[in-house]
Amino acid sequence: MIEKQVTVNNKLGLHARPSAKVVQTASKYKSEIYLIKGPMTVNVKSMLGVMALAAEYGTELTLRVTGEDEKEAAQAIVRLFKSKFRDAY
Amino acid sequence: MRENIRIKAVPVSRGIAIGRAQVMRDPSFQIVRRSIPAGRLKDEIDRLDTASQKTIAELESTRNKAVRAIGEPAANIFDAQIMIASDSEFHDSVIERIRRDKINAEYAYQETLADTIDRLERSKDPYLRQMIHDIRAVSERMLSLMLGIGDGDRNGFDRPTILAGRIFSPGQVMAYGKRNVVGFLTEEGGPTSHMGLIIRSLGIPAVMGDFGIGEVLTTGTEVIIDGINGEVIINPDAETMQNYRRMRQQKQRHPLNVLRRARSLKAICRDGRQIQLAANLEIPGTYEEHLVRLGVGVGLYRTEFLYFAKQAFPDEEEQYRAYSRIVERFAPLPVTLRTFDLGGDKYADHLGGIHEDNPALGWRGIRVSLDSKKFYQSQLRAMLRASTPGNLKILIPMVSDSSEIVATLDLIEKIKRELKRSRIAFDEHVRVGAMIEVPSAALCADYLAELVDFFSIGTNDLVQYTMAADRSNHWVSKYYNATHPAVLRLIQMTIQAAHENGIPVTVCGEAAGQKELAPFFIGLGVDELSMSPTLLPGMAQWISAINSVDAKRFATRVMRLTNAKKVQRALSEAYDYVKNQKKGGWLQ
Repeated sequence: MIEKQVTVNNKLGLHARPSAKVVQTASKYKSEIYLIKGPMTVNVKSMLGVMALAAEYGTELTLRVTGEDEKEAAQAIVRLFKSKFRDAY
Repeated sequence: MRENIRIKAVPVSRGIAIGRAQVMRDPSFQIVRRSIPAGRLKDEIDRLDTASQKTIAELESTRNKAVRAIGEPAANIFDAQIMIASDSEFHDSVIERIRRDKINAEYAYQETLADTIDRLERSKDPYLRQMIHDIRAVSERMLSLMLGIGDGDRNGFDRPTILAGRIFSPGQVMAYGKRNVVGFLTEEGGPTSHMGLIIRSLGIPAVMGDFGIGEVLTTGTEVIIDGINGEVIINPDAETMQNYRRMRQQKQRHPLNVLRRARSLKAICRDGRQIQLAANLEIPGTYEEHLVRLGVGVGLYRTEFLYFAKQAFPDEEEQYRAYSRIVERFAPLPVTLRTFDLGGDKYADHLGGIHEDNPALGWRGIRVSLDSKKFYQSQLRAMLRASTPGNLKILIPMVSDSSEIVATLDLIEKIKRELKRSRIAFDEHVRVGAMIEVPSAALCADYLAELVDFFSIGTNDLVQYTMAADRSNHWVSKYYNATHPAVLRLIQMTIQAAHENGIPVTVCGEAAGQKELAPFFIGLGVDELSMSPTLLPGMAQWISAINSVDAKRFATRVMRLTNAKKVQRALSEAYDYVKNQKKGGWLQ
């Protein structure tokens, strides 16, 4: 199991578009991937779950990944948060 | 009921619509909890599965329809909804709830969803709250399918109808868009919303405001939507009705039909001088095929729609696809792409969305682009790549100083070198122009003209900045006047500077589409008028009634007038003379 801290760095927060990107990225991996905000834990492969985080700019989240490809999966998600959910920039 | 209730509104999609209101309430589903015997739970789960599959299929087909009608970027709007509908984790937890509580499918669905919606509703962030619209768009489909509620209204209406409601989902707009629905009236969802984008691309007038839907405005009420001036008239009296009918006929007789019927859009003055006509396009859509058929290029293509559709900066590939699609479609007709022109306040996060007390005088247009070089470079690169095959021009918005042009040209040169190294084709002679919409640019037009290949005068902002009057502020609306001598002088200076340097001038603001102003612009020597596609047929015909030699003398006379009222009087006299083809009189 891997645990990492991630921060929502884009000013508009984790709205529909970035949420979709997080879900799409997570869905490429076999591992179970969760984001934790306070008492709330959501499956990152669930669009409604990620949306329900209502994570505004600056929110800190815990990323928890368990599974055979956990290293790659965690890396990909962390990178996505760091890049503010951008595409090719 | 009171007649002629006039309510101010925010224009969402231009045009005038007259029709009977149909109030579309947010569906209030009567969802009751029913206990289901263990042996029948399977049926409930089947109902959920069927509704879910159907919803996904519907959304996908709507998305495909949108791709065909308005192109890929705008259709991206549906992606989030498709992902919500196909969320298997959520689906499984609804099934779990059906089994655990032994209850009916729709109740379990609604209860499971309530949590997510509650959380979003509690969010203070308006942007995050907007996700509720996406979720509701999906859940309403799901619930009505499970409850077996038909889409009665989707079958259309037998007379012109204006749909009024809190807000419409992009899917609803697509579904209702064609069937005798002539306008949209909403309480939420402004011009930059997803709803607004889709409505505009379909060419249907729409406004947003506080109309007392369900109270003042009920189903069956006659309504006029003025999507040009931003007004709604509820229960218009006979006279108002007639005025608007006339206006609608003049301005936008069923926007598309006007173009469909048009045979030619060549604007040739009585004496043989040709004025180029071009179209302002905001989003890809229904007008394109008619413009191509009629041989009219694009004088102003606002690239912001890519940003609004995505609520983020599109990457280079996405832009390249969008630009080359339109450039190839119009080739060999010119397509003028204007680089992003957004106020800093509207920009997203990546640029550090900022608060400004005075956004119109703030960080917008080329200023933002030059401060975010990476985005600007990827846009210019996408444009250059899209420049061949075809006839693409690049237009820089909000220029207030020559340094902005120089910086842009340097960037373009650098990108050209890179493209050459990578052996990527582009048009070596791609033309670059400057928008003249800030007085400082008009005043310095003589040396700006040495730097660029063409000018495009944006009258809307030029008037606002010259007269220090915000166009959308009704307290100062009397100061916002395109016919003020100060504005006319700046326009004249710009045209003169351009022609002394051998470059052409386009007028592309709202004024370009006004018949009253056409003799004046032609008289000053404007080379091209670019306007909303629906205004083109009327303008082509109008110009053919004008003699450009007379117009020149007329413009000289107008330039000597000392206030806007006198100018307006002269313009309407000229208008009458052209209309009635009286000779000579209008140039005295």
